[in-house]
Amino acid sequence: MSNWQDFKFQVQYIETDNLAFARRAFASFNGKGKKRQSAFSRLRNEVHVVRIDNDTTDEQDVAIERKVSIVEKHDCYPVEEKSSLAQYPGTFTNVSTFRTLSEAELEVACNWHNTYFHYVPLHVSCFFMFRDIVKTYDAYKKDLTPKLLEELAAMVQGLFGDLPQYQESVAEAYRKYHTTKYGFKGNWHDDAYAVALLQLYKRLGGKETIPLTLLDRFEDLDTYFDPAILNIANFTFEYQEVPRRPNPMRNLNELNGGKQSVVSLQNRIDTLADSHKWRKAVQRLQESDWTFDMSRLPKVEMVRLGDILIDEDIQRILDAPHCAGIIDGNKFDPALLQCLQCIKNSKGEFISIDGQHTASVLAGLIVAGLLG
Amino acid sequence: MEQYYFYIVQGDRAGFGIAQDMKHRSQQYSSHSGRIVNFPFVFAGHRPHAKALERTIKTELYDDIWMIEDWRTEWLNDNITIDMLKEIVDRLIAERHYKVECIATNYDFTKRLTDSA
Repeated sequence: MSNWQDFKFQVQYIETDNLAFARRAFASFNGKGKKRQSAFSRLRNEVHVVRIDNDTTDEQDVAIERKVSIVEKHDCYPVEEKSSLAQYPGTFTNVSTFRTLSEAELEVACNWHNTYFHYVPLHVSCFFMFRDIVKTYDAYKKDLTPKLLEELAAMVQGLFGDLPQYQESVAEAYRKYHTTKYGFKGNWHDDAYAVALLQLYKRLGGKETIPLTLLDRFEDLDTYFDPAILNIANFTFEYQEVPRRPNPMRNLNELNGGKQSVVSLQNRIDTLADSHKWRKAVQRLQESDWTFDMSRLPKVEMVRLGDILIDEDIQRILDAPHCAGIIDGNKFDPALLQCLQCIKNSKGEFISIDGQHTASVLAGLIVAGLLG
Repeated sequence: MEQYYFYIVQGDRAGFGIAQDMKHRSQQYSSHSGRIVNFPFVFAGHRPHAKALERTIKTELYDDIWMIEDWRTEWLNDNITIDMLKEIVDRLIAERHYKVECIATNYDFTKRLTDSA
């Protein structure tokens, strides 16, 4: 193949001269109104590539699978947001924060959760706290002692009940602190989780050594906690055991071999039928004069790249580094190319709505003599 | 120390909640429902623990929360009785060491909390 113009590629198009349609379609193809892949769904795919497909060619997939293995070792499990699984002990939904922790930080955070709070879901504040604490102790060249870890658990248990309640209390203290100090309600800072707990530890008479850098931020934040907490006299730092029960997540963990379930569309139709919101939306359509216009369905055709035009008012400017990234590192796989999206106007011209980078990469590879 | 309350309430079904002022909360329920509403059990204690207890009940009884369309209420499905709920609350207080205790039975705002003990 020497002439890129003659290379034919799949184009999905709508016949119209309406450029407003093209502009709205561009927004739609690029995210507006589209359900994005969730952080959990992305994680699940990365882990399954390693665990189910035994494919270890991608370093990032391997690294994230290793992190997941660490948390699972401590009976902790990432799950989808709003999933019914999120009620079970050890589950967490904040996958984005999980990704930011090093293996060492995850090891400490999840071990702490599983040792002391094995009966509740893992609250995201646990990740924030131990990310800061482990990092600081590492720089401080001191060991984070088992005694301190147990005494912090005793505080969370004895003063707050659990981490979600600690989160509510520290957020309330932070609001009062910021308003008093600066005169307005400031934005929350995640590093206040560790700082406030450690300040409170010292206030209540904790004896373990705490690096000053973990105490001198948010000065006197601890004094803004609820009086119900501050007025506790002679706190003993004794963690009280809670009975451990089998965790259902060991059998329900979606990352451990997947669901091994392939269903037909009927399953999804049944799910829709069960949804109140879906039934209401259908009812609204039924009660309106809306009809499904079959002539509006897109058509698919093989079109010469030379026949595709780009309206620069609709498509973004070409991102050459992005195109270079697509073909970088021998990872480029033609099997992943998607149909180009166009409108076909009354002059028979195909105006690109989405996929200019795909078309440009193909044409560029032909010009470089790398295709065919 | 200022008391905070966790309560079990009897409506058409069993319900639960937390309050800072039990008398006011009882009046609100009665005002909304047009009758004197009975609180079979009222617990009191450490504010953060009362709140943690309420949150835990919502998690423990996740599948038994009475839902109206997609809205999760603070009432329970018919299969959970007041006695069953009380048993769960007692177990959670004992196992998780929440500093709250049952201080009144069959309370409503026409009575004093201390008289309902």
